[in-house]
Amino acid sequence: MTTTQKPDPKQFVADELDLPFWEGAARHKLLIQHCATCDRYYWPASICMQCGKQDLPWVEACGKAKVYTFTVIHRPWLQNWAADTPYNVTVVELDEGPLMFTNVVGCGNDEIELGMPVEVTFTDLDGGGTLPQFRPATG
Amino acid sequence: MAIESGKYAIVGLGITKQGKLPDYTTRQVVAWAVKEALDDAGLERKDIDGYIYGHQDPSVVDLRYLGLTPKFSWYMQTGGATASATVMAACGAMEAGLAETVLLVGAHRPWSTRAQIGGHGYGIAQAWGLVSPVASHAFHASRHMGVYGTTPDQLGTVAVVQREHACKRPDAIEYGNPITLEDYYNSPMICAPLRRLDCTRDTDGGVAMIVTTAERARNLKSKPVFIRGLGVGHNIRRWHDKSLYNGLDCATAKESAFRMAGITTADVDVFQCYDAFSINVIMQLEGYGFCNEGEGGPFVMGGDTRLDGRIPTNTGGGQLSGWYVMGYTALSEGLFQMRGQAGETQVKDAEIALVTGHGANAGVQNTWAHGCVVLGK
Ligand SMILES: [Zn+2]
Repeated sequence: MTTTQKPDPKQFVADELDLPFWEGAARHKLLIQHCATCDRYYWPASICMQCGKQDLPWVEACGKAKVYTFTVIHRPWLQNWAADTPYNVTVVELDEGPLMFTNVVGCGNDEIELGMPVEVTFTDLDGGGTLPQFRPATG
Repeated sequence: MAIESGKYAIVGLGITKQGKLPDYTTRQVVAWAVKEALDDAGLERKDIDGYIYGHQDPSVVDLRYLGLTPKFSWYMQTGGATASATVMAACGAMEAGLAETVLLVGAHRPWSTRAQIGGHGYGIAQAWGLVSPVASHAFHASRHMGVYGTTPDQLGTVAVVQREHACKRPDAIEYGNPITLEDYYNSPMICAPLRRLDCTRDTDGGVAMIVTTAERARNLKSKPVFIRGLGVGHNIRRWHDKSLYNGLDCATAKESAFRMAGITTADVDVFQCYDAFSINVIMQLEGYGFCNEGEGGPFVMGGDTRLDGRIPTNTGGGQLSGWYVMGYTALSEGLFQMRGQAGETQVKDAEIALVTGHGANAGVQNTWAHGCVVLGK
């Protein structure tokens, strides 16, 4: 998947609550929120569903996940993704629990399947920012 | 406490030409639908004391242009659940004693204005290139295929069956244009596994209808259709238990709507479910209990959504082969069936119609609002 034209992902956040995720990605860390009281993890920024705690701290996820569902987009709706089309957008279930949007890289779109173990990889974008993507797990 | 079943009714149904309306402005399309609905009910503009416009664009709300003087004018939008939500809002307003004749309108011109439904951005997930409701529903389809073994043949059969219905209904956009599974496989992939023929199109058109008390409805020109049940659900619940890609929150909506109507799934004679994409039909057949979870694909393959099947579904061709107006397609067809005006696809002696809709993400993709309306004679 070529990535040169991608916009800085930070432009898509609704407000500053999710910025730590992208700042972490820039340092090649996959950050998710953790409620220490309930030992539950969240992504994107969330209130704790169990105890209602707000402003949960961001902690580093292990980076392992399984493919939960995915699609392969065949239309060049986004100019920045036209060169990659068809490209996959995939939902993975992180080992810590949360579902997360991403792309699976390092294998063909036709090799992606539900339950497939994947691991995080960080793609630095020419236009600034870093995209956490996932590749088939190595070990 | 639920509203009493049958206390309110829908009278007056106005549907404009659907498809391509390049020579009209959206205000004109609204006015066209409103006039048709008023004429159908035999009501005058001054009779309308509540107005609800089911769209997100306030610039189209123009009571002055429409010649209406209601006591309230609301615009509301929750994607494909908009139609059912406006029915609920109208009933709520009447139950509160605020109005007794509420006009609902859905109208838009995405084809003529080239508003690309496909290109709608989706917040944070757009960082990974996620756009369009096609892609979001492809998440449902992929998941359904992986978990339950649903097949492309089954998705394609949803499209084929609804096209059969459309070919019997001259007002359907795809009237006279039958398709086969081969045509389905020849249609281009949009967001795998969804092909062109798995998707509705962006069509222009308007719908208006009037909700009033059952008492008043009985004295009007059009045959009243009674509101028997109302239900809502929301897929945010299934985000938290991580089942949201498997289906919709039909269960919550069904519980309240069927309780209000005093019915079970077996009592439903026709099912008009929101079908922006083929997979929606399969998920909702399961969600409302017409078949077991995961068995929606085989149910459709077995012919059970055909006119002679166990539950005739989207009998006007639905949105896949008919037209698209934010959930008003299904609601209109439910009204036609209850009025006995569904032409060649009229289900004989149909007494109860179940109408659904879903749409509008709530913080994350596929957390749709879902609504249903049970209609009865
Ligand atoms: Zn907690």
